[in-house]
Amino acid sequence: MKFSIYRFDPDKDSKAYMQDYELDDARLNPGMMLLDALLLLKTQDESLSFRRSCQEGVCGSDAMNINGRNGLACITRLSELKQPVAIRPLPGMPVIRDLVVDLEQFYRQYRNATPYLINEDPVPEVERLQSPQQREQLDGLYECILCACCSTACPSFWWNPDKFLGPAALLQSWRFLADSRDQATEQRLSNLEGPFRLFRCHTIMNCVEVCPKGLNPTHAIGRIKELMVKRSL
Amino acid sequence: MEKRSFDTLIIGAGGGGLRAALQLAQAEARVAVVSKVFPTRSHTVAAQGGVNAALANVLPDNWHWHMFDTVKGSDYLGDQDAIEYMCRAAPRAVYELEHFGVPFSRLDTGKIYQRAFGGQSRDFGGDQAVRTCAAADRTGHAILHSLYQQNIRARTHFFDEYFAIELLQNQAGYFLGAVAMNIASGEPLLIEAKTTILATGGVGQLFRTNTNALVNTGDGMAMALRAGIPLQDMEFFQFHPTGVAGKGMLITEGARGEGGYLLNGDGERFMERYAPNAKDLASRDVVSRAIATEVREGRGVGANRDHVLLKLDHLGADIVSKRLPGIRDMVRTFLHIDPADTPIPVYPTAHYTMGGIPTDRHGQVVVPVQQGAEEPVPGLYAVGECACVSVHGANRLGGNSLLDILVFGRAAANHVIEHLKQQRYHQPIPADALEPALQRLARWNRQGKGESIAGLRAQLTKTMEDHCGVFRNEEVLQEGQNAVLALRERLREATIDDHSQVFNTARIEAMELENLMDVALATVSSALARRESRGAHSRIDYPERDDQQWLRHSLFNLDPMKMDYKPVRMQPLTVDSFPPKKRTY
Amino acid sequence: MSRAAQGLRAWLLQRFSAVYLALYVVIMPVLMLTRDVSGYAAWRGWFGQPGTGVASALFALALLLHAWVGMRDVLIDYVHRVWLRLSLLSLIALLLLGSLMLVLRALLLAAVASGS
Repeated sequence: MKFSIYRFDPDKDSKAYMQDYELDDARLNPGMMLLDALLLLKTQDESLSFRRSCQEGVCGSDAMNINGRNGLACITRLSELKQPVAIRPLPGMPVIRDLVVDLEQFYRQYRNATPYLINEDPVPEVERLQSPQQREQLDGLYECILCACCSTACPSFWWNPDKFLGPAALLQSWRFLADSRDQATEQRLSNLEGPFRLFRCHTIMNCVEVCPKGLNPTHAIGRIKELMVKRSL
Repeated sequence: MEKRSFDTLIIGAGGGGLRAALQLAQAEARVAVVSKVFPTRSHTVAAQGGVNAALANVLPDNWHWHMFDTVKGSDYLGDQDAIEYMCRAAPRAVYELEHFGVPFSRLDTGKIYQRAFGGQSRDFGGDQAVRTCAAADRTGHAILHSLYQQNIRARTHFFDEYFAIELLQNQAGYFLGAVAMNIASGEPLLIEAKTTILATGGVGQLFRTNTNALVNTGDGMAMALRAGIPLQDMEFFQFHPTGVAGKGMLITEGARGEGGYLLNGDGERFMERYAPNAKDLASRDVVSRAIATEVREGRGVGANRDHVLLKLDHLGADIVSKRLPGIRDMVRTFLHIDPADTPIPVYPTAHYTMGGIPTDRHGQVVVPVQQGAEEPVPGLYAVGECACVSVHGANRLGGNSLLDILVFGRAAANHVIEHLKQQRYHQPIPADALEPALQRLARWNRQGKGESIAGLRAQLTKTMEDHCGVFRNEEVLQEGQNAVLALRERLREATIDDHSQVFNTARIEAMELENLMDVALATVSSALARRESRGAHSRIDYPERDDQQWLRHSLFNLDPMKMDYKPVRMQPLTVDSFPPKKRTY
Repeated sequence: MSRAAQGLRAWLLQRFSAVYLALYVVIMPVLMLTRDVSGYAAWRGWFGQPGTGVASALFALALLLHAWVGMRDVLIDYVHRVWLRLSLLSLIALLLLGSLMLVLRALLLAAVASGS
């Protein structure tokens, strides 16, 4: 099987290049994921660098651009990929080395979304109650693994990564706005005001297209706008 | 070398490390968390089923019953003072999480949803208890993200993607921090701290097929070993009954808690034979042995009769997608089947390290002092899977690992806060204290041809799987120990080709393999020495539990290599001791 | 301008103006078919009526606001040098305002002519 992989090591390369790799078909087996192939390639060329950890799509380490589409290598089936498989780092982020990108900007926007529950009531000695229906509002939101597939597929995020929060952070924003236990609605909404943080979203929907967990940030952004309108009337 | 100073250094940003960090940051201690991966990528994220606490939201329950189950589950090797402490603290630990924002599933009453899990009973061995608090089947993910979020709020200082090389100590044995390497730049960093908490997790990567993340390489355990701390009870390695056969992904015990059950090749619900009362919800060691026995005796499923089936299809698509959505996704992705229609092929898979760095119930690392009573090691703590408190003894109950990291992460932090009041200033770091770390770093700059790291790692994990699996005996273990010793020697001559300073994962993997080798040696040596069967440690040549000789903790020392033992703490804090009894489910 | 005006209000304005623009471009041609507007005089007379005049003035205003928010979005997305963005924004503002003046003048003249 043939691969073409983005390589760049600032220690020795002056510019990035695509390197061809070939994996003996005898080493492949049906049902293999792209990460399995990358791990095999790394036994052939240990300088090939990428992040990986859980191998089952829950830690979000191995997000990369696979044949032009962002995804997690560990849950992308080899058999579904066209050859040669072109693998590049997540677009729009500074490359540290090979497939490893600097995600600081992405994490900063996550922190900018005030991603924690705020409730100023006295702390009860037991749990705060929440009905199953209220809890259901968080489904499709809390499952985000911060892999950055969505934000780095979003043109608005490429254009203004320092000012637009991006789909991942906005999904988190809605996760707390939608939580019946959270009391900081006004603060959260006013934090999102202005032309940049929220309103750079032009519903291009690349985020929905690439999310490996099947989440829908565009819908969450729509719900935030809806709530803003309700609150402002 | 650049130097940074903090009150407390925490190595590892899983649930244990983050819970401790949060407690310390809220107490306004200056705390640094070093993690080789971004915190939410730590392996706590993969925990599925839930966390045990006797909240009694569904059925009557109390912490004392939970304590009994944990002691019995540990095959009486758990320290009963620590177990009492943990089970008493459990409800509060869970309520705290709820206040931190963890999106627990809910009952119609609005309270936290609880499900049945293995090895749990009401009224000291009576009917099945319902004690495991869950956020669907993504409880670990929900907890880890919430803890990280609260740490953002508390402004904890994170060193993300820094790899800890070696602990620092002075002549008096006081621990002073660690040397870590910035993975992105390759630069070493000296982090000076009045107290150091190890929270580096388990070492599932010892085995070829495992449920663990690739990062679970026992770094903290190995650093402790090399710093002269023994490892406790390393022979007890949990094999989870339901890993996806041949692949290893975990299928939560919650799947059986929700009503799933196991079938052998004859279509028989075989757990009824092994555990007439608890059936599929017996303790993990019992279920794993039962599956391995079915397969050994030719009653497996599949062309090679090498696995059994986990049946969920009778639950209906609604329960499966509501209570086990992550499992459904994962099985669809990796097996191309829908568990709501088709049973899942499963086999016992290496999962959890019961043993680890010996600590007391305050998280302080403790070592025996010349045959005398054990004493705390000044300045060093350990929490979570890398530690051995010991609350899990010879076999951990499902749902007790998340509880362990929460309770002891918090307890260790509270003890550190007290300690910091007395320890106002940093102690000077002797120049030679840095030497081991620098040597370790420099060692991988060596040029030339040697064996490859990947090759040696593959041989090590195969050796451990073949020689230190579910069933063990003297001969196989002895071969295993010899093999590990030989591999460890060969690793000294291995080299890497990649000498770049920037995000050099080849170098990280080489250092991880060094850690794996040390911990593998501890595991196989402890297993070889223990001539009885207890909990997860099943010796075919010594099939019975032997409380006369072996109701004691093992301690493995690396240099010089030797086994040592210490008594089990049978006396709880306030209640009567649970004396060892024959263990049936 | 407040941040709210630049965010939510701008976004709402764009949506509401879009709705009006859409209604106008659908309804006007239909109305046109129901009457005889062939020839300059008839055309001018029709636009001179108060209903048509006000509706068309609103159309021009909505178009201006819609275009303003849209152009501003494009410039925010693509033009990151502050002085350049400011100059372009000013230029567009001038052009849009100028166009609006022209439209309003034409409508006013039509109204005056039909009133006389």
